[in-house]
Amino acid sequence: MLLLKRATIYPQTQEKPFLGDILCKEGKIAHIAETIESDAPSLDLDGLNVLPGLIDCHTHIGLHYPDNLTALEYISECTRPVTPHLRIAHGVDPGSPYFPYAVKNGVTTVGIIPGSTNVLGGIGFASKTWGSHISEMTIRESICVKAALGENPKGFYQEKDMEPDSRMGVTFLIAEALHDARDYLREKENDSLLFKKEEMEALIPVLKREIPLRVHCTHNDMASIIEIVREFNIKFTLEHAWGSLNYLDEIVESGCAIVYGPIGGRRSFYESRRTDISAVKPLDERGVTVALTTDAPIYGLDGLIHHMEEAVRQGTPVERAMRMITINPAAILGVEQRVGSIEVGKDANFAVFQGVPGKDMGAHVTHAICEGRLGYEYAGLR
Amino acid sequence: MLFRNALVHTGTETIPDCDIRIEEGKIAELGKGLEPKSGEASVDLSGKQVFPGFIDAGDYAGATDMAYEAKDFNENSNPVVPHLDIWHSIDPDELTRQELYMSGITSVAVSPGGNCVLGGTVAVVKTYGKNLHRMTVKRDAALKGSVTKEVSRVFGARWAKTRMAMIQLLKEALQQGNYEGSYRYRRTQEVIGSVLKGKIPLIIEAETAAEMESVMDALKDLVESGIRLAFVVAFQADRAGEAIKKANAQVILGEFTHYTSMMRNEANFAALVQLAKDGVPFSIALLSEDSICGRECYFWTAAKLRQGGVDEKLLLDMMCGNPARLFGVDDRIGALAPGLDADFVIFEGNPLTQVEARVLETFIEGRSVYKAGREE
Repeated sequence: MLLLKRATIYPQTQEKPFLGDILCKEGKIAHIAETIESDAPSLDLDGLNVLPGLIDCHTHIGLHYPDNLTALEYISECTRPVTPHLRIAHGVDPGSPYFPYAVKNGVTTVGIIPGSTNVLGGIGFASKTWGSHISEMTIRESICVKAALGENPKGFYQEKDMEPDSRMGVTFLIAEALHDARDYLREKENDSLLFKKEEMEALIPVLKREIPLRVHCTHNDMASIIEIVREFNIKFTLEHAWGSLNYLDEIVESGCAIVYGPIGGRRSFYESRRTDISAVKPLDERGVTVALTTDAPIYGLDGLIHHMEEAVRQGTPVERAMRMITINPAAILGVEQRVGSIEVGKDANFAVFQGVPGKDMGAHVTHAICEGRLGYEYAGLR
Repeated sequence: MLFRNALVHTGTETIPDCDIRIEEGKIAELGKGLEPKSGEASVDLSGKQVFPGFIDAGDYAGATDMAYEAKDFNENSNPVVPHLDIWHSIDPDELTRQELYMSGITSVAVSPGGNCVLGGTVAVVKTYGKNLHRMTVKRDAALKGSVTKEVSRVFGARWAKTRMAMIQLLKEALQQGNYEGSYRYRRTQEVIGSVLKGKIPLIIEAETAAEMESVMDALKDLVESGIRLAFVVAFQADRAGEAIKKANAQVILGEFTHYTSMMRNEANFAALVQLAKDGVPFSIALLSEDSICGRECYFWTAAKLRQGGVDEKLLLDMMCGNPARLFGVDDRIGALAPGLDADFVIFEGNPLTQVEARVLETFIEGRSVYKAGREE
């Protein structure tokens, strides 16, 4: 049990911020009220601001040897371009120092997904950022099949003299896999299936709209994937989504979600040439579910707050930008019933801030609370 | 041209209802109650705030292209090339394409990369333009070197695999009297001579406290005789704090968020800010280990310094006044005062305290180079 006292609560529901107490019991939020009397150990959060634990739904953390955080050894199966059935969870090391670093930055839930070398890279999962075993860290086992368009698969397999060697080659492989999986599903439903194929099985939940196809794409690649998936009526997301400002109407009409970022790189050609984070404002206004991502460890998870700040700096209202690192990514992960907002019954995960993130320059995490336990406390000067 | 009624942050003071008169790219007058001359255009900035253009104190923007193929910021044929001048590597179109001015950054210290122990001299230039001559504030504004693992990566086979060998190369290069005769050596003598006389700073790229401490140890005689030392990137400057104070060295903080590493994760901003409060001059750069970052990261570092407890005044000095003094260009930029270049940024809100503060318009030498909402 833990009682959070006198906190300014930013619930990320329809409700406005309010002053109150939160009682955590058995890892869940048991009660929220203006004042709560309880024998539980309490934490006085007077003057501090409480958000739900932050969420980055697009990361590749824990997939490296512990001494080399930037290396991405186990992120992409680079032997062949179509591997939708591989589970990224089987490459993650719970002992990675990246997890405590996530907690320190108030990030309590992450989507860990395969990289973008493969056209169809595998199955991602939703994870807590603490724990000793992947099984106990897992919040949802299958959150998506990861796909990638553009430079990553093209560039890698080009070097290997393999298919795909061009953007038209990349998009064809996705279309082929979806068509084959649909045929496979029909045969399966007609009991006429001769052999079980894991690659095809992995795409069935996508075809049945149980999980989204999450597609690394930018600029005109966004137009490509919107065209390809149209006839399949599947759920999908556009990941990174640089250049969205040029495709606002198509994105809105397609019904997809957007996972925008990372930004902060120098201006370059190719996919990140338009760093138009100002696009998240019109997308959000027009009803698109928008999340922000650091692509950790490409950018550090300390940068999730900075991404949110930059969205604000470039026009998005603070209260909307906060949702892009809390309830919106929870919805994209399909775990919004459990995390992403401060409501009774949800996991007791909180990021406590000195200052209001997105409003005050220098707002920073003072406490991270993980299922009702103190996971991190700011020590000030070391 | 007259700008009226703004809250003006000059770099040393904050003046409400302040007017600024711009003539021929310079600030002609600054103060309360200036009246428009006949025929002079005037703009009312009531409710707006004006800051000096910010300075990016280390970057190689412009010394490579957007495709990252030109890479003219490192001369990889020899680890000791102090005679080289980065100015010859700057492409104004490429520099302008980095859009630094959109974040209010109006000057940048374009610096050689981290591959060479001594990589060449630094040029301070404006961040927008087509003509490099007109954009230049100062050439040979500093000498830039490095003792990072990049030196070992590039020169490890023939020149310096270890830090002890890098330090030895650095010491030897700074010995006076080694250079005579040919043009190459005369030019080297000129640059090294400026460093030894304290006319220009020696900026060493270093990430760890150990790297910084080994440089200060090796150069302690030179430091005593007055060379001016600064460390750039400097993630662990706080841990080398005592030595930095003793050496009167400066810190140019690099960028922390792009790519994850333990070194960056463990950076202690409260301790870094304490070092600045103790009197060590700080600046902010977009340079990072073997990379440069986008304009957004400038304010991300500012936010981290605010997390560490820096006050507004000190932060603004890190962004303007201090880098201008470090590079000896405070007679042109780094503050708002009569006689200085009319490089300034009009903000809605205060970007030092409010995330929501927005750049409305950026001026370089009196010319509007960016206006929010204007089609460029």
